Amino acid sequence: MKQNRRWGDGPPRTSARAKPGSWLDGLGRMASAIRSILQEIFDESAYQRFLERNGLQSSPSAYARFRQENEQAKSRRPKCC
Amino acid sequence: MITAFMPRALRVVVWIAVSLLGAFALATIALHRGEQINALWLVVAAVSTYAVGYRFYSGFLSAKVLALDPLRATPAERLDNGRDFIPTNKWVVFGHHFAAIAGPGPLVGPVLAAQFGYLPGTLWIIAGAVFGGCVQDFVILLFSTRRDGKSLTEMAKSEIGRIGGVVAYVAVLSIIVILLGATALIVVNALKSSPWGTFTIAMTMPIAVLMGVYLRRLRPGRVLEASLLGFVLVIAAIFGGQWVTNTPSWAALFTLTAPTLAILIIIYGFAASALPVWLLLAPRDYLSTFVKLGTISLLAVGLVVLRPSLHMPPLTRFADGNGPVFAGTIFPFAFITIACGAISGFHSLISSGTTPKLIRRETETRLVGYGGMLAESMVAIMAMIAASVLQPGVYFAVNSPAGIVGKAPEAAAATISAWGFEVTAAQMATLAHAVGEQTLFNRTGGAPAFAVGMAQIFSSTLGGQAVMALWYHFAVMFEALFILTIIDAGTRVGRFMLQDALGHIWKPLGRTSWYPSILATSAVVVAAWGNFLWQGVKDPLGGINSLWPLFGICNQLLATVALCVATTIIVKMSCANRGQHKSASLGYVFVTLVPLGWLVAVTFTASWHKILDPNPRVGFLAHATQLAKAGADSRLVFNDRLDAAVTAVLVGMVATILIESALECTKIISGSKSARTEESPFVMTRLTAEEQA
Repeated sequence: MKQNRRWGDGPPRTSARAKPGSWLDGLGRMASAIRSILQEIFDESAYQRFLERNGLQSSPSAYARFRQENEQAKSRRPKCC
Repeated sequence: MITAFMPRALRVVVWIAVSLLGAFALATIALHRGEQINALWLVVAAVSTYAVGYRFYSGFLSAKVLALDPLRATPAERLDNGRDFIPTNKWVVFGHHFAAIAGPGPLVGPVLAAQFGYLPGTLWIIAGAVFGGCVQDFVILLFSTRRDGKSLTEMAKSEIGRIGGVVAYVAVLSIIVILLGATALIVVNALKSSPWGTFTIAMTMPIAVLMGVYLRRLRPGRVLEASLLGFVLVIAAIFGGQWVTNTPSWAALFTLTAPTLAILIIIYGFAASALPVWLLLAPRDYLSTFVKLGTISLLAVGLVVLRPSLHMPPLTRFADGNGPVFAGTIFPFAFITIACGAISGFHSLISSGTTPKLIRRETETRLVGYGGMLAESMVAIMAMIAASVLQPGVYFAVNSPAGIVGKAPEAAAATISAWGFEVTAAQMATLAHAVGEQTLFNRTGGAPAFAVGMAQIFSSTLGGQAVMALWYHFAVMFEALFILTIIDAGTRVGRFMLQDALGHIWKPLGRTSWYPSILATSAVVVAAWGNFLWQGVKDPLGGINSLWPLFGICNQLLATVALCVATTIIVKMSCANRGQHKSASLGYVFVTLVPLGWLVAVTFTASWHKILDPNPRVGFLAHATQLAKAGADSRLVFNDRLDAAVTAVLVGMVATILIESALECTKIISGSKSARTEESPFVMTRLTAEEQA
């Protein structure tokens, strides 16, 4: 199950201790969803996808390559008013 | 939604209760006269209307008009490359989309429109979002998703015609230029003669470089960590700003005039576009997003917890069009002043940009497109509240230009009091001292008024008057940081667009790596928006009076283009499906045709006023004539004539796309042209039921 998950897949089940459907489970899922959203907004997910796609480990040089690729796409996107 | 798990009868009761609550709240804010009302009434009215709008109207659009198909594979699934096209969880796309559409517009527009009172703006924000903005964002997102993530310009070209494509291109470039000029002016007005604010913003540069080093060398890719670190340092810089203000030698260094700040911002914009300054820009962008999301969340929680009262009346005397913040009557000017919180053409660029490439299921466009805009609209309601909690006298003292109320504090206070909004020079001096500024008079642009409102809301319980200055400068920093990232990103986007166009004339100019082209196109884009900024700085009426309406007209004209594209596509869909689906009805075209008709009425009327109105405070040409007769600087006269020409050209171009779109629709309805849309062919989704959940 875990191996099939991908970046951007959203909130996984939070904890084996939280009963599915309980408020604790719901709270955990919400926290997990917020984390996923923030990771996408702040390009952490994009970096992970970059590492997976290129079979790289996280390192200063890998991040520099990611930034170069990412910036080319990002610099053409307008920021809204 | 929660109600999906309820029995049908209970669901009906819940929705009736929500509808009644919304109607009661709307009636309360509309009919209450003479007494202050609590800000929560605005929140309840908005949230209830949004809930009903989302549940029923967007449901109708999804099921009937657009016929969202859960079995149709989206481009994110079909073209998945792990880079641009990525099937992504709907909540993640929602957050990403919201972060992309939320800018300073929904904060500044409502603050400026509050000069009419809180009622016109609030009603427009709520109704405009539910029936206009959300519909635009939703349909453009879906249509782009069904066309492999095509941009608005590409869709205009393929669905309407070549002219449509050219008009959309020019409209996009124009809005970027005018947006940058207008927002840069907001920063200048917020930071002029403010050593505290200027120091804090200056400090974000070394902080961003530090974040860049952290990201590149110490913890590669840990952006959230780096942003948190940057945020802590920015807070420290705000405290440092207080020390700078209280240290005369440092305060003198950071006390800058409006022209000096304008020149610095122009240099910054050019450097950001032409130089490889990744180490500064990318971390600052992250920091700005972090602060933006945090501040919006904080403000939302603060309003609900603190429940402040609104001091602004529902309607002010300035409904007659003689307002000091900007001149013009409620119709059409309230509707172009508030764009982003109600309907914003700029959103159609985001809805046809990154977002359609992330959509996993067609059905999720409803949450992302319609729901994302509702969230943005809620931000505008919060801004309206922040402006309306101020005493009206204070609001007008901050937002009125010296050209209207006079430069001397006593004269300005007397003028504003004569309007019926009591304020004294001593009261303003005390407030300025409390927020750590030399003066709060004539701080036009909306940002300082929003910052004072936000500071008042928070300081009433969290720390009291002692920390009011910190809250104020936190709000100013948040807005200025936010706008500066828009300036650097916008200049680069404008430069790329210009290079793309010039590449058709001479190929080397289109090469984005050729330095002479980079320098030349960056200079052209910066000169274009820098001209508007300079014009605003030198304008005796404060600049916002002419620039913000121009920006609003431009933004709404872009929305007109987007709704033209959407209407044409819906006509084609309806005619193509006639005979195949009983549900296909040409009447559905009204979902985009009605907001389109409204926007045409608003933008064309506003443009007419801005060009030809005989009142010099409204009409550009009348103002130019007045200045010429008074022997004013010829540059000021030229600026007004330029604004009039820009408005006329834009309106002319949008009229062209309207006519082209109407002709195309007429041909299709009459059957003289086949109703063929440019959708990608249907491919069955391969996503499993588990992935769909």
